[in-house]
Amino acid sequence: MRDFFRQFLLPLVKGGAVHVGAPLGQRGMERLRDASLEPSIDAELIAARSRVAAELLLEPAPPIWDEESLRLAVATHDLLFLLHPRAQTLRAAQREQIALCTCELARLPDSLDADELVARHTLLHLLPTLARTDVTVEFWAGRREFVGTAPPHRLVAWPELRRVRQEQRSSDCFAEAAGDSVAAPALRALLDASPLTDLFSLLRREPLFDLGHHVPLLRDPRLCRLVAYRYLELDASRMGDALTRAVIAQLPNDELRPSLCAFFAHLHLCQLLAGRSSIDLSVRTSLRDFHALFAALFRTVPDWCAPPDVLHDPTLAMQLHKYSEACLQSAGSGRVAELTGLLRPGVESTAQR
Amino acid sequence: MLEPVALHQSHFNMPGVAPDGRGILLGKLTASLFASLDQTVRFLALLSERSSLDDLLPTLKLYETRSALESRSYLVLFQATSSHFVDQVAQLASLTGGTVFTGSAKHFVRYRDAKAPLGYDVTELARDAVGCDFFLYAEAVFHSLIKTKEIVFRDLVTRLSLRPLPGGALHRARAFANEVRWIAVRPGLYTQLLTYLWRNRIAAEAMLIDNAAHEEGYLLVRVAKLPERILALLVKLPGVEVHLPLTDNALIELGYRHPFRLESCPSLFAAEQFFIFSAQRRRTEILAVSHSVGGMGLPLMPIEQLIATGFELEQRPLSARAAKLLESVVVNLRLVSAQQSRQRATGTLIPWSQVALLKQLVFALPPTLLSGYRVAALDEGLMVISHQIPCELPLGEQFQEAAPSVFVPLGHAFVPRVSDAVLTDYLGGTQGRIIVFRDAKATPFSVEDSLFEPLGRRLVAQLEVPLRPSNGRLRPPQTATARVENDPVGPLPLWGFRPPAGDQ
Repeated sequence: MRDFFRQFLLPLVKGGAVHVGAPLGQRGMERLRDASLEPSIDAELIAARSRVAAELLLEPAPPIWDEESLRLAVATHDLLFLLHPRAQTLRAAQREQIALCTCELARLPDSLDADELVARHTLLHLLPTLARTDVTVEFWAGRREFVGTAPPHRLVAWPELRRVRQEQRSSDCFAEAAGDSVAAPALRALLDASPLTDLFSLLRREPLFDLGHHVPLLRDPRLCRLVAYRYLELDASRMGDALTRAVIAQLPNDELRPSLCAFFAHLHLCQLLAGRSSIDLSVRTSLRDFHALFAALFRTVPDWCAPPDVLHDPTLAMQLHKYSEACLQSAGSGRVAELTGLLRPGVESTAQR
Repeated sequence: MLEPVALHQSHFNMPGVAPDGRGILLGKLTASLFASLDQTVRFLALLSERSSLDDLLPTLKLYETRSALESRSYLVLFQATSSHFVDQVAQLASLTGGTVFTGSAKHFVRYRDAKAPLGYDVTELARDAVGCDFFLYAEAVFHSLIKTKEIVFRDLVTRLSLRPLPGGALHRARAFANEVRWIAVRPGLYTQLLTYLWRNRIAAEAMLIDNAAHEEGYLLVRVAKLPERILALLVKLPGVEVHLPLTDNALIELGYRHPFRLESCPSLFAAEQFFIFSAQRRRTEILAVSHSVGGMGLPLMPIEQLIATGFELEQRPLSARAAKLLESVVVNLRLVSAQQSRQRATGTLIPWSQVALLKQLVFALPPTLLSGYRVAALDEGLMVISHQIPCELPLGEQFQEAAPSVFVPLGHAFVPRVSDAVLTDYLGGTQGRIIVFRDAKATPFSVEDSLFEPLGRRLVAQLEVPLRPSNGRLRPPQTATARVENDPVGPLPLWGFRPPAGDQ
């Protein structure tokens, strides 16, 4: 039990070598719940999680070690076991059983409490960047693969004589889990349990970033600001591209469209007021849709683009108008017309309702 | 979504594909997907360099497509003759940012790569096939594309802008002096150009192109052989375009090339038409050809019938005696004091003994003067000149400009009072240099224009800026990274593992 906390949990939160062993499952979770956490580990864990929380909230509640945290930690461990080379030798039914158990452990109640969601994120914040070093050793008699483990010394001894050649490569565990048909549902369950982790990793390639799941969270002003500020810290071109794709994918949905468009416009307003608009409006193909969607939105439903007091302020309204024009020029009228065509039927149906 | 094809695999989920002699999965058609038209053009340009487009043209189709996310892409389809050819196409497509697929009509699967040397097969075909025109299966993504527009290849060829060749038209003119045959002349220059050609005894034929679709017509002249000096002159002349024959019935402007190697697709140019690719006018003219008339089917007329030849007064040659007499009346220019001259000084020669004073004076000079004054270091001292603004430094010898780039002492002028152009000719030209007369007796000297630098830049010394290391009192932001290490799990990793309650 002590090894789990020291060698898996602490590195998962603080960074370092995350050791993955045999799957724990429900029984392992119960044993860990009954075992008391060492005070030194507990203090170290709270300090590490508080550091992560402090980057997100001004006055975060100290994240405590509770059953929800334990479930998330065990579920993450078992998810990573599914990528263990030993797991590949199990029967398909056995792997599916582990994945099912992981999904069950990761099933947490929905919450809109910022402290609670941030506490969950503090445990999983390194999950999207989790990597693994795989080594291929070629020697005179053959070739061996070592996934996430170092080759034994006997195998790499006398490199000249035995013609040993080592090749190291770094694997992205997150992408690997997303691409594995058994592990993917477990990863999805973990991301559903910690929506902030899901939202903050929008630049990932897989699993597909779906903003539609998180609309209730984005309707909460405190959480919405938290997400927006994190997005504004990211590289504007990559964030803009990924976010725009996610918003365009949800445009046909009548329920989600107004909230997502308002969130999207809020990011533009933040950029405009932060004085970053002039830099971002240079001709960059990756930001073309980001600008085009805002220009289309401003043309179709200006009420969704800014709060009413901003639109009634002549100075701000003028700035917004100029920004929209600049967006139009940057993206080109053709693309703006396409997106306007995509927006208009939805807006009309919303107005009729 | 995709699985690599195994050697001797006989059954495939993908319809319309089969292994070729090398065992590589190949369909009837090759589809190359590109994100932009620019990439598509670059791909076709490379393809035209490597193989004959004429062989592809019968099956070549270009489509503008739209994905489910409303993003635009371009699809190039043509017949896959062999896997050797498709290998070459895949290499060119990856160079230009595209992806190559193989298939038969609607479903296309990713062509082979290093991971799957025999190609890929799909694990499952897409079911929502209604409404989409193409389905492309890649490793991680699946593209369902709707055809929005078909781009006719010939239209694409005629709409692309020409690219300038390195070295420019003048350099090319020398290389192709014997090949140039055609000149396009804008209105207003017709008569002058034809007269000039006729006077230089150059055989030429011309026709007027007056296309109602365009704003103004132009004159097209075919020249049998053009001397290099005339060709160099015409290349530089605004309103005149020199063209090279590209094929029997196509011309391209000298100094430019088409993005595609058009020699690889002569069948594109129909025999009953004549094509003129113009870079300056940014258009491609397509003229109808009538084979009933000569001159390549164009109604060309000899230029002597098009110009009005008049009578000119005979010029008498200068006799030897008159030439000798003319030499006796030549006078030299003299520099004399001209007190009535009220010109302001535009140059100063500051002796080295007074340079220390200039260094003190620099602190009082306004920024416009610091950037407007230009300075060069000579043996005699620092030469400061300013063309636009008066040079009012109270140091050294002051000069004024008697003609552009010709400096004489302040209050002096040349006699006889000839024009600036004559004076410049007398001095052998001032291109790229200035000429300074210190006084009437001293020999003038010239200074290369490139030696002059802005005064502010020349006098301000380079400041070494030391790099300060971080203090370390503030801890830099830590970017934590975690790496997975797999521990040994023993022979029975699931020993004691309990499945969830609902699954028991």
